[in-house]
Amino acid sequence: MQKVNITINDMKVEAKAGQTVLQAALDADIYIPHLCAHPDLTPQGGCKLCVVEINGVESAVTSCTTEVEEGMVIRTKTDNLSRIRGVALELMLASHPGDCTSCPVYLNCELQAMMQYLGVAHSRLRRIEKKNIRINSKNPLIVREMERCIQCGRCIRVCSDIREVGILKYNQKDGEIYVGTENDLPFREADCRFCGACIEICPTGALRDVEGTFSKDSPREIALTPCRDTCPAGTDIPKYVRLVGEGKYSEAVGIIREKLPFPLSLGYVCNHTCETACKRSKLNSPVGIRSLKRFAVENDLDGIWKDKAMKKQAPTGKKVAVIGAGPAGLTSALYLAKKGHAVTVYEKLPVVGGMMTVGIPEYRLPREVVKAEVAFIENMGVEIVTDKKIDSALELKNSGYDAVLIAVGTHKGRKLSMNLSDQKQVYTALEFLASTSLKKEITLGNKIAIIGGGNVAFDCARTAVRLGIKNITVICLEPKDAMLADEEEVIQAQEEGVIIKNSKSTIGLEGSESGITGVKHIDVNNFSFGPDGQLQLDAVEGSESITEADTVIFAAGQMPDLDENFGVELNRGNRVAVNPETLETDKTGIFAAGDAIYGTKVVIEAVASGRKAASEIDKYLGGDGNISEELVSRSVMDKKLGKIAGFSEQKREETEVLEAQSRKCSFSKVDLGLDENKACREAGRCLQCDLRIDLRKVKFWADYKYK
Amino acid sequence: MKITCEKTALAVNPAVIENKADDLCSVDWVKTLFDEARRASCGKCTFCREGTQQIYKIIEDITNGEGESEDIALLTELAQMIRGNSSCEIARDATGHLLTVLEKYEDEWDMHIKRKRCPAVVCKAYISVHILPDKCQGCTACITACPEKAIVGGDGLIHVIDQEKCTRCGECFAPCKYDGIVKAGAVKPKTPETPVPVGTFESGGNRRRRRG
Amino acid sequence: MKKMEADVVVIAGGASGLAAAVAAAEKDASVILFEKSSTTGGAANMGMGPLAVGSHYQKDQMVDLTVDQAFRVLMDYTHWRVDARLVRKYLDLSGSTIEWLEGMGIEFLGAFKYFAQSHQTWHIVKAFGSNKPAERAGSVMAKAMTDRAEELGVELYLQTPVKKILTENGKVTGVMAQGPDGEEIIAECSCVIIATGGFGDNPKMIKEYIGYDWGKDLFSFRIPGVVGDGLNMAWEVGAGKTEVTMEMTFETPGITNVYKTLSETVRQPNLMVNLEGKRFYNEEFINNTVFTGNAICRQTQRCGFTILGDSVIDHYRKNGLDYVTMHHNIKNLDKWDSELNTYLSGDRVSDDPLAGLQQEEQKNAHSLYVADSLEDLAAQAGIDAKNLIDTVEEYNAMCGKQDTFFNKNPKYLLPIKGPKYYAAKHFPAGYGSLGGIKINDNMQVLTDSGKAIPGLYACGTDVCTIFGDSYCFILPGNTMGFALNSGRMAGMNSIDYIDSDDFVE
Ligand SMILES: Cc1cc2nc3c(=O)[nH]c(=O)nc-3n(C[C@H](O)[C@H](O)[C@H](O)COP(=O)(O)OP(=O)(O)OC[C@H]3O[C@@H](n4cnc5c(N)ncnc54)[C@H](O)[C@@H]3O)c2cc1C
Ligand code: SF4
Ligand code: SF4
Ligand code: FES
Repeated sequence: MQKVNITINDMKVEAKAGQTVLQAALDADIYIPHLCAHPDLTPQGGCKLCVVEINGVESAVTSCTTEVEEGMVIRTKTDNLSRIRGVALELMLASHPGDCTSCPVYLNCELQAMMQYLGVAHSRLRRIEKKNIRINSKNPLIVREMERCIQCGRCIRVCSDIREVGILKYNQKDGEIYVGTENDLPFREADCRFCGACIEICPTGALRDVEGTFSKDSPREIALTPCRDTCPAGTDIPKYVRLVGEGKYSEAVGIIREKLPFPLSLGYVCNHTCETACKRSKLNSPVGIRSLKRFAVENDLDGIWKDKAMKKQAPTGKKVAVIGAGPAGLTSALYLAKKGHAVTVYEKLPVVGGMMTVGIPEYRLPREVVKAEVAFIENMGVEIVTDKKIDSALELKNSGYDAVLIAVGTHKGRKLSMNLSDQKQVYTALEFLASTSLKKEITLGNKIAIIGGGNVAFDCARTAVRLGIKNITVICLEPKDAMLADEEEVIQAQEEGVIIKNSKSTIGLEGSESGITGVKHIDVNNFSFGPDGQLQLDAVEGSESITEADTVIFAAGQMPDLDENFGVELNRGNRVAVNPETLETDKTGIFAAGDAIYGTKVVIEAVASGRKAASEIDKYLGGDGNISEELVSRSVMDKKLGKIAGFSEQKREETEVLEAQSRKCSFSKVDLGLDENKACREAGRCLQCDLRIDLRKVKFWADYKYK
Repeated sequence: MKITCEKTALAVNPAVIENKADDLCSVDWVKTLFDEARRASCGKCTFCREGTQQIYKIIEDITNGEGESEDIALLTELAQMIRGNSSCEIARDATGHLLTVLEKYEDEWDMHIKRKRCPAVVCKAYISVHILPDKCQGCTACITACPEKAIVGGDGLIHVIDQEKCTRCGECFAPCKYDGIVKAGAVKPKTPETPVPVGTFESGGNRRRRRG
Repeated sequence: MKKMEADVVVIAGGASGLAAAVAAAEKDASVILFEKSSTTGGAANMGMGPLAVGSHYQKDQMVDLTVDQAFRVLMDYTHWRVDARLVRKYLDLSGSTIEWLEGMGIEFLGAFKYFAQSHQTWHIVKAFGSNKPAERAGSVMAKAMTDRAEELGVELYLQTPVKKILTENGKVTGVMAQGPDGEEIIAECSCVIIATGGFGDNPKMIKEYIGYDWGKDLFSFRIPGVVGDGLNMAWEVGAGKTEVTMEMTFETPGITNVYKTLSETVRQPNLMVNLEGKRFYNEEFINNTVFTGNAICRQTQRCGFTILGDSVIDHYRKNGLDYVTMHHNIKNLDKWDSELNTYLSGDRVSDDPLAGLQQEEQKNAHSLYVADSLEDLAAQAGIDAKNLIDTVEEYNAMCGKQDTFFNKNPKYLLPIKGPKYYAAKHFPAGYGSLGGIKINDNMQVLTDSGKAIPGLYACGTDVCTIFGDSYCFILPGNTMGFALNSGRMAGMNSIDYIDSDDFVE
């Protein structure tokens, strides 16, 4: 880069050829007031605050539109310049609200800081009340309080020049100029891409994110992408969604793999809190993130992430035992192995995968998917010993391990305490699901009643359907419109012939020692949980009735299958007590993670918990605890979005699902996923919330050395 | 890296103001000029966008009886600033004319601001419209023309304008075939308070004579 | 993690923090100032100027208020329920503070009153090109003080909130802050000065310490980020608590600051009633917003109503409004009809350019009712109908004669007659919180038992308890005045402490 020597306020400054005077000054830490200029935008030279005087040039010029030239002698502070800037700011303020106290950007506002810098508080000018500023200003994502707009045009330029969407412009009406859309269309109809760049770049409080769009607890860069912010493992969702859209499936998988080793399993069964948080849901419906994840993995032909993902640190000589081969245990095992520790996983069952294999039914999560993902972990040197039940973590630790992780999940089902509940053909959900998964014998009748209304209850019901049972009833406490299970599960179960009885509390089992004949329940108007978690019912007197059944399944929650002999302190409900900061139990060197510490949640929580445990155990063993990795290098994001007609209304692409008739009689997968066209379209619906981070931050006057 | 404006010139004829006729008000003329200028502004530059708007507003106030004594100094300062620093011809042109007018017709501006008068009888806030009793033939043409229904009268009666209702729009001038309707500034013609038969009004007083 | 070191760390760069930083640096101390937001000045950017007594402006303008007199005014007003030593020191210093500020390049327009009955203590800062008092003129002062601080070598860190005050054996040793990129900063120092401006933007603390539900029975200003950081950090290291109050005023939610003509019209000296339909105030004093706010606070559900009829509106149409404020300068009812129509059109916020500027709670509040009869008006507004009718009847009977109850000035007794009747519902409002950290007259932070915490100072709104229960409006400029002077005192005293024998490393 060629250098140009200039002088600013008697200081020698070395500028780059082609730079503007403004940029050269700012780079040299010399402040020149400016509002309409922004480092990422083509200068407009409109606000006139950046005026400077240059030797040999008669009148003041705007420094944002003037290129540096060799030997230029520049003054940024003279009385004349102060006057020009003062009047320019007064003119802007003439139509601006007189008080900042109701403005959420107060104290972080470039305009307000400019008033300080220039000493212009108010104007002796006439107040101009613009009338057209509120036209169609409402939309679900962007607050547009255009009475605070100073028409600097930064939003217009970022929208047209950088994003190439170009829906904003200077409008003229009744002799007033305001920033709006063509024909004053609402943003949705104007085909706004809702990328938020205009919000990011606006110097005032005119454009803002709708309150509540982002969490206030996370660092801003993360909070701006609510999907990533809510993903327990922190997967960089917008990046991989963008890669799927570009057809770079292998790269997409790399991004996912940076945070979790079960991408495909999760592509099938993740409860996707990310979709609930997705900003797009405020426009119509969220991006189908989970299906895109599955699609990416299923179409990853190159595995370009593998080389990096297979990297391991030199052996540390430390030995770690993991109890339980579920997602928490295996995730932890993988990262510990990468950190150079020797890891052995002990699993009491003959199969690996934990609940992913014996809880979640096969028609939702094919077993070979889990197997393949576990195989990768084994390839990384993790030893897995199945059919090996550990009875005491403490003894295990003492048998020669430097650290132990308890990740035993919640494998003890709960039955409601009532008469006959220990009879034959009365099962817990887990007994039923696990025997089916493990292909073990279990005696069932023709009429099954399932007590409970969560996803587990529906997994039982739909598994029973596939076992050929015709008469299946789910009895649950919640009313129809407040069911705990996912809507999709409920609908599909009904399509498969499952009967649902809502707002019923089970009060007893009917029958005798020789067998169950039915479930007795009472209608409830309302229920709540008392301060100690006990159920409080408002039952309808005399509404007792009976559902005939010869088999009963309790899907009423589960807990870790542990007792005091295990050697660590347990909390209520058998949960392993840990220090939340370190996940360490009351015994030094013994850690715990996953469902075992917080009760049955979901796979992705277990993965996140397993990651945290790995990091903490590594620290305990003398490592740095850093398990973050970059499997795909971040290429510069394409700043351009372009305009797409009807963008806001684009419907979510739904996956193909097997017909009820054909899915009923087998355990083959129900959800067939997306095809390439649909995946591409779905990825295109993403608002790319992370894109705005690429815009440079503006420094305020107080931040500069020479001001 | 310069602002490019689509419009480059205003459709004014400066000659009109160089040698202005008695019934041309320089304040009103500049107001119209700035109304055009603010509508022609592309919006990108503060001095043009806000400056023309601000000047228009100040002049509007001056023509409305809301001028203040500092306004001339303020207008001059703004005009010089805009002329020297705005990005385009439009604002520079308009402010150039303003400066000329302010200098040349300072008295007329002073009249507006301090004495609330428009010597050319143009600025509506300072004028009233009247029907001359000696010209009016009671033909009712003006009644139909008035959009505000401010004129009362009838066949053969001297018509009278209700000053509360009249907006001084001037719609009634043309329909009057007898040049009976006039604008007035500080000095207003004598007229009856309510319609009286044509020919019965004496400007000395407001006596009514009944015939027969 | 980043490490820093200085004699004094000032937490927050509002009026009091800047004053403290400059005062300390003028005594050759090394000073670090951490500010949470992107710019300095805090709430002072919105103000117009501080109180001073005995300034050269007052002498030039022949204002003969002495410090003794001002002291007596404030102590009478507060019934000596405040720290008299602190008040005295503050007032004593205030006159010279004006010159101190002028030395930084700040110009003042002179000394002003806030309203007729107040004293002329308000020193309004001069802004660019203007010889009239200007809203937001305080921001000019913030810039000059920041420049002065940096000139004296104060290190200023913006977007860097302090998270914790560090102590060892009960003595201040430093603070922990967080830089713009999230980096942890440990700044070691001998003294910490807290100046974070209270908790006006923290509804939870407002509920807990002042007992109001923001958005329900309180509509006070919320300066973004002023959420009680200083109070919580001080309490965390053992500072004592004081009673916390608010500078109460009143507002008509959704109308005040938005529909200027409506707002000013319902703030005229007309009949006011409470939910029971009874009078509770001599409405002649409605322009004393502090007293009005206080009176409203005492009513059921903390609200009061101004009752109007077309008779009153017509009177104002003809004669103009009785009370005209410097703030809005609305003199007549030219815009009454159009504003009323917009407000009543249902979509209350769509048209008016300023309507969008309110918090959601304010936008959605319904606080102006219009009815064809008093019965209907009472029903809509939830006022006891029978009492309202009786009250209006009694009130009308007094018009043209004498207010036999509160003895309101007869010229403000306008009879209330239809065809349309109006009721505007007022709630308490205010500027922010006052007080919270216990201090002595040297601005040292005290524990509950009154022992000073070595090295810990606090100033400004975080400690301002010198008004007692109500803002002392008769000496205008008081909050900013206290902020600047208490900050100045804290800055000077902290360095005196470091230089004294009491100080041990
Ligand atoms: C029916 C059902 C459906 C579900 N559906 C979903 C879903 O759709 N999406 C979703 O995200 N989540 C779902 N979940 C929850 C999710 O599967 C769990 O939250 C997750 O698997 C917990 O992981 P974990 O590693 O903590 O425990 P687990 O997966 O339970 O793994 C613990 C492992 O430890 C073994 N073990 C226990 N004790 C010992 C011992 N003493 N010695 C050796 N090994 C031992 C167990 O056999 C088990 O293999 C579902 C759960 C159930 C029950
Ligand atoms: S945009 Fe800036 S200057 Fe305008 S009201 Fe908000 S904080 Fe104040
Ligand atoms: S909305 Fe913001 S960015 Fe756009 S013109 Fe107005 S002030 Fe500038
Ligand atoms: S920053 Fe150069 S003109 Fe606005």
